[in-house]
Formats: sequence, structure tokens, C-alpha cells
Amino acid sequence: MVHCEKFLVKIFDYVDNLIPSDKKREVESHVKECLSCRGIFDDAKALRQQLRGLRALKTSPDFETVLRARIRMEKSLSRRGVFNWPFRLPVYAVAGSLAVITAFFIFTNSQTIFRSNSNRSPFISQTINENPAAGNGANLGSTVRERVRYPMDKVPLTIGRGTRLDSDELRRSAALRPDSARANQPLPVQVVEFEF
Amino acid sequence: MSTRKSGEYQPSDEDLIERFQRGDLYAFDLIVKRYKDQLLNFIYRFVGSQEEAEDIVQETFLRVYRKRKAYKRIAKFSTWIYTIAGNLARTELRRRKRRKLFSVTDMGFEDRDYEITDDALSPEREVHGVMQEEIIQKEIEKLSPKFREVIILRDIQELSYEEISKIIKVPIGTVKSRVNRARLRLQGRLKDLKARK
Repeated sequence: MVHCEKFLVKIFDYVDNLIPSDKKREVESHVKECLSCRGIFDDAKALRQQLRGLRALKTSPDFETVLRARIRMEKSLSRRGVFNWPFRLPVYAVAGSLAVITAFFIFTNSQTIFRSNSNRSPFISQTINENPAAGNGANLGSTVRERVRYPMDKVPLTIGRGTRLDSDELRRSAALRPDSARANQPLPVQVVEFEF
Repeated sequence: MSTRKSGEYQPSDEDLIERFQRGDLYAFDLIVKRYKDQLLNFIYRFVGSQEEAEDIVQETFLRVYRKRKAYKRIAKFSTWIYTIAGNLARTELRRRKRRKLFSVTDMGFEDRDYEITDDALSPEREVHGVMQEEIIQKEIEKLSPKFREVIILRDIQELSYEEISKIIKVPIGTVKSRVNRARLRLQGRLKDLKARK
């Protein structure tokens, strides 16, 4: 059987006409003796003939016309296209640099905003007198709306929006205001609003 | 290298592609004329549909047109063009396999169609001519793509083992072994069919 396996390759080489004439004789004599190898040999020759005898197909008559039309179409598309290869590189470069510049500005501005917010006094920044008609010191007992800006981390956890306060801190801040005459007076009702 | 056939000057494929690279469109036309039928036969035996084969051949020439600068004279032009065509044919087979997979899984059990070998062919008709060719074609299509490609290139296109090895990028020994195994399988199947009739 090993003997025949060795011959199998030789049989196909014989059919392919790839072996010298002395080896050919060797194959021929083996095939004469060995029935199974003869079967393979005959089948291989028949198959080769069948495959070579297969009808050759021809392309349709308009094959070249269609091909030329496709090439023309491709050419015109590539001429028209702004986003085709030679143009793509500068377009992408401009888009990329614009993106980098935008990102840089967003980053630097956010830094400035953060810094200015953190520098701001966590205490009262604006006072709105709800009774503007009243003069200096005449607004005692009226409601004063204090607009206080706190950075997030300074906000006392116990204070919520619109909480009424009666604290020393507010008393001190009231003393600092131009209408400090009020400082020794009983504290007006304070409404504190927070803006975050 | 050019040849003289029946007194007429025949530029080699390599000369033609070089002329085409320099902008000679007539050289491209000659390449198309030279290869269109050869490639059609190769692709048709591979994919089994003439319409699809023609589309693939068109696509092959379009690629040659687009990538003409990529060809270098170190390789034979025929090797280059057969590699492009073979790659496209393999892609088509993969696409078809995916489509088939989706369509079969989408269908219910009773809707599924399985390919059954046609045993009821009339023996008179199948011996010679078109029917016999169809049988051979069907049996070629049943081979796996790697065996199918080599047997078509060797036994139908009659390319040398060396050229096939360059086209499919495997060693010559592997090509030979694949061709022989493909032949044995095909012989076995055709013999079975003959015996059943």
C-alpha cells in the first residue's frame, strides 16, 4: 500500500506530463501490474480530458462597452469629488486643527471660570432691598433679600434655599453694609437665596 | 518580451501594462481583450453563475485600471490579474455563504430548501454535452474553495504549478497536494454518479 501511495503522486505527475521518460516507463509498468493504481490512472486521465474539454465561455457582446462606461463614470466622480484622496488630507487637517483649537479654548475658559468662582467671597455678594422707596435706616423691620453666592463646598449642609436665618454670621455681614446703623438694631427678617 | 503570432507583432502582457502605466489607454483595451474570456471561465467555474462571473471580471478590470501603478514587473502580469480575480471570487463566495446562512436561519423548518443531488437525470442526456458539463460543474462547486481554485487553475486554465503557487501564495508542494486531492475527490464523486446511473 505504501508502494502504491508513492505511485499515486507519480501517476498524477505522469498525467501532468511532469516526469522524465524513464520514470514514465516505471509508472506504466506499475499500472499494468496494480489494478487499483490502474483505476486511478485511467480516472485521472479521463478527468483531465473532461476538464480540458469543458466548453469555453465568452463574455457578453457589450462587456467592453459596459466596462468603458464604468471607467468613465468613476473618472468623472473622482474629478468631481472634493473628498477624494488628494483633497482629503488638507480637509482632515483643517478639521483636526479646528477641533484642537476649540478644545483648547473650552479648557482654558473653564479654568478661568473655576478660578474666578473660587476667588469670590463665599459670603453675601448682593443685597436687594425689597422696599427701595425707604431711605437710609428707614427700612428697619422690612424684608431684605440677600443674594449669597457660595461655592459648592462652602454651602452648609443644614441650609436649604429660602431658609430664614438668624445667625451671628448674618449680623456681622449686616454690620459691614453701608447702612450699618442697622447693626445694633434688632435683626430684620432675612431671606437668603443661594445661587450655585 | 514580445512575440510574433501569424506575422503580427504581439506585445507581452508586461509591455502592455507598462504602456498603460504611461497613459496608453489602447494598451488597457488590449489587456481586456486578452484576458476577459480567460478570467470569465476561471470565475464561472469558481462561482457557478455566468452573470456573477461577468460582474466579477468587470470588477477585476476596474481594479487593474485603478491600481495600475501598483503593478511591478518583478511578477508576471497574469499572476497579478489572476490573484485579483481569485480574491474577488473568494469574497463573493463568502458573501454568498453569509446570505445563505441568514436566509436559512430566518426560515422555519418546513420552509428550508436543502440541495439534493439530482439523481433523476436521464442517462442518455448526461453522457455527453451540456448535461455532463453541468454535472462536472456541480461537482466542482461541491469542492471546498481551496481545492476548487487549484483544480480550476491547473486542469481548466492550464497554469503551471509555479504560477498557481504565486497566485494563491502557498508553496508549490502544497499546491500539488491540493490539486491531487481535489482530483481524487472529483474522480470519486463522478465515479459514484456513474455507478448510480
